[in-house]
Amino acid sequence: MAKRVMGIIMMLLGLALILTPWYLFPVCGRGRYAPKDPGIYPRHKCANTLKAETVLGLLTISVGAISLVRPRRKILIGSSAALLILSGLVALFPLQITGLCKMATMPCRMGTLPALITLSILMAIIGVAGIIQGRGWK
Amino acid sequence: MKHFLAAYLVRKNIRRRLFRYLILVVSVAAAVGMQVSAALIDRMSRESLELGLKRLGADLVAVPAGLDAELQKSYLTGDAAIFYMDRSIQDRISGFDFVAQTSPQLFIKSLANAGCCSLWNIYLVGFDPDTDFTIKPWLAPRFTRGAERKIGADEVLAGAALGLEEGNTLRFYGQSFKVGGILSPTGMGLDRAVFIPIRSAYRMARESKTKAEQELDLSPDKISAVLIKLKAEKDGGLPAYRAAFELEQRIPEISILQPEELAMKIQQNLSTVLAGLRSASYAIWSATALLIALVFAMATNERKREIGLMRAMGATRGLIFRMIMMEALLVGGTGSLIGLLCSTGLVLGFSSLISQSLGVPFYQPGLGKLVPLSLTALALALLTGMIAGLYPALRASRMEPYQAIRSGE
Repeated sequence: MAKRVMGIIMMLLGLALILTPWYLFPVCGRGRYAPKDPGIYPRHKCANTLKAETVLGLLTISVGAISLVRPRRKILIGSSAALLILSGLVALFPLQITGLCKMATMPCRMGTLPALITLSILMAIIGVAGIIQGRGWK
Repeated sequence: MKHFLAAYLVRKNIRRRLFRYLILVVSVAAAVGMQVSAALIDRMSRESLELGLKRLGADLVAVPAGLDAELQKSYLTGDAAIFYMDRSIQDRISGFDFVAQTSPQLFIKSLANAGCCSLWNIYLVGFDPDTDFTIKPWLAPRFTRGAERKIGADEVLAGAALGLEEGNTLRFYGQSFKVGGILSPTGMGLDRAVFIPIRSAYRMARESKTKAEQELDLSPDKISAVLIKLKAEKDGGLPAYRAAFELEQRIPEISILQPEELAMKIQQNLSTVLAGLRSASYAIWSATALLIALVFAMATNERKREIGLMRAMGATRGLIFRMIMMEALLVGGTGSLIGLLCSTGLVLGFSSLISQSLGVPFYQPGLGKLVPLSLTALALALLTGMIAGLYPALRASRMEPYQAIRSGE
């Protein structure tokens, strides 16, 4: 069981990554910020980040699932390295690649961005911990 | 050499009881985190308030009767407060002996789909560049290029929180405006407003019938507020509260907002939250100190035999004392560092969200102001660890080897 803990943590992080921009700290126009009249609601830049983070979340869950099903040394090190790369992408999409809305008070900037950065840091820490743990396995 | 030996023994011991130490570290981190969060929120809102009131620049603000609370809310949150009164009120206010200067403001809300995909429902504030004494002084220095610049009819000034740059084009009610300058940030609601010359605002309203999707119903004889600067008391002026009373008595159509009221409202909003956060952190802090003392006392009891054997093999009292104190300091230091980093990161990262939920303005302090706060928290946590570990360390170092081995069997 102890060998599968990393896989479970990775899957939970992936799930959090999907839930964050949709429900926990939703981007503009989603969750509790959904417009009452969608007809006049303009399309926001952060909608692209929402899609990207959902895909990254699914990838994180897949990486975690592999570690959970086959808890071997090489697989744990490989999936932890993949998690490290994914953690970088989680932060890069809203900051550089797809971007977010301009105003500092838009929901995507107030809540989603700091939540994604926090998740990205957590993913990086788990990634490094996984590599260290994997190196100790025989 | 002695220090290395103590450090080696501490490492071994922590590895053997990792879970116990993790719980201690998390408790210290929670206590430090709560304390630092409360201090940060307090400092950020105070700084913002100071800057915001300076930015407001006016001693008093006159609005239509009964609507001063609306304006107060709008200054704090940046949500548009839309109301109008007759322009002649400005002249009536200027007629008072104790008034040095007045300047009108006009509040407008932009349309929901104002052209740019990511800037909508903007709070537009019309100001008179000829009489203004509150907005122009706050243009960020890099945009003024060291010289007083006249703001053109098709130019606007943008608040710092809008993420705009000089030269950007904005479209309101079918008219295009160029961003002529960015105002320096304060953390107050007006950081999210766009300031437009009042004559351009009236023109925009007039032409909105033909150019905009929705007409802006605004007559040129209407204004929303009058910013008032009072004469100094030595020049025949009155204190702000007396001038406010006088104005409200003599012009019943207006209410007067005093910046001090704004400060009081923010203090009220904050005090309950900060008191809760502080009491919780004190409670956790005391519980953590007790927990550390208890865990180390337990650990010393468990390790009586081990300590006795070490003493019998030549370990000095000092080495045993150092070893236990090092463990306590390590727990305090690691916990406080984790708590400090997490709380600072989370409060700064979610500052806009916290500001909106608490209804208080936030201005992010510079690194120079964060360092003393961090060092104090770190020192307090280390001191707690030291005090909590002192008794168990003294007790362990005073044990006689023979008795320690016998009682540990």
